[in-house]
Amino acid sequence: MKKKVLLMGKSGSGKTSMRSIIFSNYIARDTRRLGATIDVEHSHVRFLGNLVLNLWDCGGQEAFMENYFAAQRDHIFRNVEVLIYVFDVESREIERDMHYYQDCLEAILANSKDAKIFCLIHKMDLVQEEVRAKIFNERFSELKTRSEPLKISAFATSIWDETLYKFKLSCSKSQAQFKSMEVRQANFAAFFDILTANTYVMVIMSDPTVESAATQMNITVARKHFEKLETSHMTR
Amino acid sequence: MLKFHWSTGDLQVSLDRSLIVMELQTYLDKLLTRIDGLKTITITDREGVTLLTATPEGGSLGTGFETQPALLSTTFAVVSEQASKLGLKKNKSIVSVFGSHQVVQFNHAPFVTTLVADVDANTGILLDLNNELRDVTDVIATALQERQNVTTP
Amino acid sequence: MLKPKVISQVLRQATTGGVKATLLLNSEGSPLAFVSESGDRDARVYAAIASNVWSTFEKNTRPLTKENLATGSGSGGGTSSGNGANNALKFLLVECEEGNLAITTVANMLLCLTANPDVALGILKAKTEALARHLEEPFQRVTTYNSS
Repeated sequence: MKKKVLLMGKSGSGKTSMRSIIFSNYIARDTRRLGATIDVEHSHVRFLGNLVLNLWDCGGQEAFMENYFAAQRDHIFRNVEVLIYVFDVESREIERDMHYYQDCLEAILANSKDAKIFCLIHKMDLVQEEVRAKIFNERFSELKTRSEPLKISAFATSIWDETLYKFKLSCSKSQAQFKSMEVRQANFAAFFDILTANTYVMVIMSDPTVESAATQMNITVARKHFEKLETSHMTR
Repeated sequence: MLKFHWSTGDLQVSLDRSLIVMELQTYLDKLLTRIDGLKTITITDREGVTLLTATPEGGSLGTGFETQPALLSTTFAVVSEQASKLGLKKNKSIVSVFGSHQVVQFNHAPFVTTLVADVDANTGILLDLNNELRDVTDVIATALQERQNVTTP
Repeated sequence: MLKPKVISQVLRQATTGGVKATLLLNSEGSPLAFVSESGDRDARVYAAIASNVWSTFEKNTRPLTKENLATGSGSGGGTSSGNGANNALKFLLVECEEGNLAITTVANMLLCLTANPDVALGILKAKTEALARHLEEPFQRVTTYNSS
């Protein structure tokens, strides 16, 4: 079964644009939409090689929100592995945001109590730099108390954060170009290689008389085993 | 320079030379009957142009091995040159064994001599023909040399 | 899993009685393991040339081995009726003035023995084939992991 990821939050908080940014390499071009998300948009996102996420981008307008908690409650909140709840740091109606958030948690607690919960305090770029840490900490501690008994993690985010782009670029680049590498010295030989779609392997040989081709062949043999492990784990 | 076909029908070949060719041809034909499993003998230059060839009477040229001596010769020419760089001095011969055939080839520079035989023919006996067949190619080489001396004053 | 030490031991056992070097090469011609009396450099030259010689022969004769279908055989019963696959290249014997090379396959790898000229070619061939048979089964297991 694919991992079901719910992406929720108030209308205009930036869920869809965030989704576009993070997964733009993988999903169809029409995610560069300007309008609001209507109801729920499903997408299967291939991530870090062969991880497949079943992403549910839930429109944040009140009409839909009410609907999720009423008519679609079971459908939406069942079998959730991860809930990502996005808060707009600039929101004027914090109480209202919290109200929906808590409704959402209630539904999660009832239907998928083991789900991991991540809260994103989004649009941090709109907050003055000096107070960012302070504001984030305040929000986080409030969310923690309001989320009990569920445990949450929180992050300050912005789609304008350059470091995110840089990281992403470096990831996709290294995956496309890196094949394998060997470092040989007088008393050891080290091999770096792609093992599976999601993993790399490093092998250190203390006996430098062993030929490189033999070690590489063993890595190839091991690869089959690890790929088997990975696929059996993914399709549980 | 060596690319001409030297056959008994060549009008330019003088009577005694064509006699030599006929003798060589007869000799190769006899080898075929003398050695069990030997199918064809072909002498070519390094580009694969046939100078002399002996095939069994009645012509049971069933397989590619017997019908395409040029391919085998040019392959040998390339590989033999590489093998001469092993650090074991000059390459003398190469035996290639396939599922149903074996091919024994000699480096008779500037020629290549190719024997195609059944896989179960005696490889040792085939390899022992090296010097005998070297005499044949030597005769051809000398004759060619003479001819060149005649045509280019 | 491949155990390079064990392979080297087996190769060492064959490197006696006039055999100068024994090498096991992957399909690209890189040595997986080798034992050489005359040093690493020589062995690497043998590896490079042996794999090149083999692949040249194999590539160039492929059209010949494929069209070798059963045809009306004339003289003798020698004409084979084998199909392309089992008429593929099995063995190479390269005779030079100062030494001989024998090359054959083990699974999808190449085994190569180099011997002094005083080692009879028949002995060299028999030794190579015996070693190949010995290695075939364990290597078949490793390579099925690779391809399946």
